[in-house]
Amino acid sequence: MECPDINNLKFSREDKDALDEIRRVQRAGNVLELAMPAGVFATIFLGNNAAQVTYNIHSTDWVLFAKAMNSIPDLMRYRIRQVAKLRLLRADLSTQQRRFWDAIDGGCRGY
Amino acid sequence: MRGKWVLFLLGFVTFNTSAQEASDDHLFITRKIAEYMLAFERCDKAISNRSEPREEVIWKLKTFPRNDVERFLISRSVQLRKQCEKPELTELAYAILTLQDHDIPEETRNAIDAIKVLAFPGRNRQFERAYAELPQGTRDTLERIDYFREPFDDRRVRDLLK
Repeated sequence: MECPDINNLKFSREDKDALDEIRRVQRAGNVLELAMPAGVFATIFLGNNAAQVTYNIHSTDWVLFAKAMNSIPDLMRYRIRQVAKLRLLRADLSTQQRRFWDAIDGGCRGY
Repeated sequence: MRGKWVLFLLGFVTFNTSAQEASDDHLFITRKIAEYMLAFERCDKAISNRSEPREEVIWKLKTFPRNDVERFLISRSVQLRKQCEKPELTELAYAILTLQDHDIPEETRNAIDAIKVLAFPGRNRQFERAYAELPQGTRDTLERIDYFREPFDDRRVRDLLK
């Protein structure tokens, strides 16, 4: 979804809390990508640092972790849209606030 | 001298055992995280594969106040989504609790903190509250519609109402 032009948008304290929550979700997603074993092995093969810990990974784990890694962005997006939906449940939003959060729920990434 | 060697070897074995336990703990929790992620994708796919609701469902929704309908659609979709993911969410929660008292490395703790933000957002209780605050009659009527008994995309339905 294209991010709409919104004039005179004023964020309330709750809006700012919601934006902080979105940033927390993004940080959590980035941490998880690094913590998953698939991420660790990508670092070994693609980066300069070798992991110091040995893992006993079975062959079936590789598929599991690779699929999980691919899902992290989708989960992040879903949680961000949930933050937007919670704002939309509020009856006291201005037209501009509603347009903003509706755009985030719709997939606009203007945050 | 011999005593010192015995002590050294004991320390070495203990250190190696602890290091292995730590990596086992990391693998244990990241496997559970990965299994939850697959459940998330499974539920996502189930939702996106659903067809749009029939015209009579949209017509029915339009007979209720707009705010109530929006509230129902958003909170009900979260509720059903959670039910879909429940088995893996429960396993993940159990796995996190079992590691609570372990001496886990920072990397593992970071993974747990991260998945808590993504899989167990505290704000979900606000959706439950929103659902509970709907007029009983509205809730009862809309819950009886078959379309809203399986996970669905609330955004898609709300767009049809515009």
